[in-house]
Amino acid sequence: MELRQAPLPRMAGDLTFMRAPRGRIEDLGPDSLAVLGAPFEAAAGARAGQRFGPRILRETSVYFGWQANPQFSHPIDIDARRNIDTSSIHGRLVDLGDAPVGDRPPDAAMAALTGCVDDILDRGAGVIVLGGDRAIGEAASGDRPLVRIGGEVTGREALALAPAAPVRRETADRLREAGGLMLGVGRLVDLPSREIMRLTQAADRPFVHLDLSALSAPLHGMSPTPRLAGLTAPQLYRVLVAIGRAPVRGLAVTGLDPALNGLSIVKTGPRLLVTVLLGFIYGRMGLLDEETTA
Amino acid sequence: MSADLDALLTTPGATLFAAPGGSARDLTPGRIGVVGMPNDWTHSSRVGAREGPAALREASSEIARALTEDGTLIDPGGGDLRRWRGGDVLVDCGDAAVSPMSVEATTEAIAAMTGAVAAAGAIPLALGGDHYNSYPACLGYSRALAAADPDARYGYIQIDGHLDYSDRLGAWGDHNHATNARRIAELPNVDITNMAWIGITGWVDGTDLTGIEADGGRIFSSGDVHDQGPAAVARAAVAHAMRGVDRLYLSIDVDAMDAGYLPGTGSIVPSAITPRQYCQILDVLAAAPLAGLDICEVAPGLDPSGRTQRIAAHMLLRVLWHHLLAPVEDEGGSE
Repeated sequence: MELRQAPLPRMAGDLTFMRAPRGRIEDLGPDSLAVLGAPFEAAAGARAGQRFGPRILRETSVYFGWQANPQFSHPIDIDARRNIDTSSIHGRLVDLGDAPVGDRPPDAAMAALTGCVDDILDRGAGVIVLGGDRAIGEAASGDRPLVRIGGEVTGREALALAPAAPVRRETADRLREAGGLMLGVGRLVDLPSREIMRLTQAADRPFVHLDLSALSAPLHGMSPTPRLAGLTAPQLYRVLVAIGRAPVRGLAVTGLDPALNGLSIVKTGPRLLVTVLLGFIYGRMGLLDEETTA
Repeated sequence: MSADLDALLTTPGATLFAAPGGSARDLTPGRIGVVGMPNDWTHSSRVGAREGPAALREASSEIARALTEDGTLIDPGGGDLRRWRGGDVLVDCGDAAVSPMSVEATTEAIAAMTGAVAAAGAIPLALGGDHYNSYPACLGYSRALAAADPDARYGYIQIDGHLDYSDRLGAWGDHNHATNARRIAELPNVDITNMAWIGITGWVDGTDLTGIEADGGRIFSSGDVHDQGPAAVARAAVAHAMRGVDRLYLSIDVDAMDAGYLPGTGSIVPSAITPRQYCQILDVLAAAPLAGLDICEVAPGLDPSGRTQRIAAHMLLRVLWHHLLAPVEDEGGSE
């Protein structure tokens, strides 16, 4: 809160997501949106580095902490020319720190993460989990209906949007037989926002797994699952605003490897991810109306 | 040591487009005086642009070497014949004396150099540095213009991912890379109704945006660039900036380009503006009556690939095209 009173340098002070106050799970209520770090990779193979994702996402997010920074008035979307009143975020967005996943065997680490997410959701709060590799998406979502954006389709998704790689026919059949829907990049970008919202609502309060591989790799170069014809940041932002406005339980973001050869100083990937995450947060907190997201 | 071997050696300390080094005293009207501004102590987050002037000089020298070797050149875009004359037009005046602990001293040092260039009737071309340095570069030009003609006015175009129109920025006060356009707007011989921005992306501060537009400034977002086309936006910006004036100051912030193409800069944005689109904007501005310009925010240390300064040097070539490459009459012997 003190950050609202004094013109501190952007990088000073306690490093929390978007300068949100720190909090504990016990303090969360139905109006809260919790941020939980999961600095772990259980499925990364030889290309390790995604465990540094939460740290760099928090570092990048401080540039967007309007609600906690006295030097800015309020953001305006330059293209929509619409004011976004972020004042209501302060106090509702809470950074819980990292889940106790470090130095544990993968199964125990993932169980710890699942337990934390369950506790948060049991209080009626929403959650944003900062991964971590794709295993974080599985552990955070648990058995809940799943909307997956980018990443690898497993067949259990209610919605699989912009998958990062071709999907095996058996997997696609399984997904379809279970009532799921898969949309590639081409169909997704043509889909009206309200239709994206309706499909998300139909999934019955799903959990969202967003993987950096949803975005075109040439835009960032920081995903261990590179792809050429992915989404652009503005396209993904629109999708996440629509999904955020539907009743979803939470979102886990994965797939950012800030330690990829020579790229630790580039930071394009975290900037893109935080930008699109803001779309989810603004949508979730009711800061954007339908006209903005159409 | 043979003469051939001598030719292979390089001289430490490149100059912009391998131009001769000198000072404002060597300049005459119509020429371009290059001023380095190796300062990023006025950047609030990711520093590294202090290495921009050296990187631009090195990368542009690579271009100059390729262009000067071939004699008559064919412009692959328009097909017309051109001959390199950068060595006759450019004078690299070196770097301003940067004082890391004093924004005021740095400001005056840069302004003194660009002012001396402008006072000689030449065009100051300032190499940043973070984008704050645009203000002292323009300040020097503005002072020289006022000294020569107190009634003269100029237009201003800023290509940028950001407005840089804050009055203050936290602990950095009122002179930093987020306030340079605001300080320029306060100069006596430029009016905000002659100011235009191109490439603004994402969220901007609400008070800054409404302030500019309410006072008559014109803003073109990166979305406008995509919707209307780069050349159309550039022409509209020039038309706005040049209303009632006959000279233009151009400030180029490389971060208007999407960071996927150009990651070596302090404040990256997902503008989706490609190098080709950026050059199409610059091609329009190259035909405008440029009286002063700067290029800022090249931070080579933030781009392991080294492409940032090469793209930026190419951008300089495009915006200085008519100055650096003279048209040549086709004598039928180009083949």
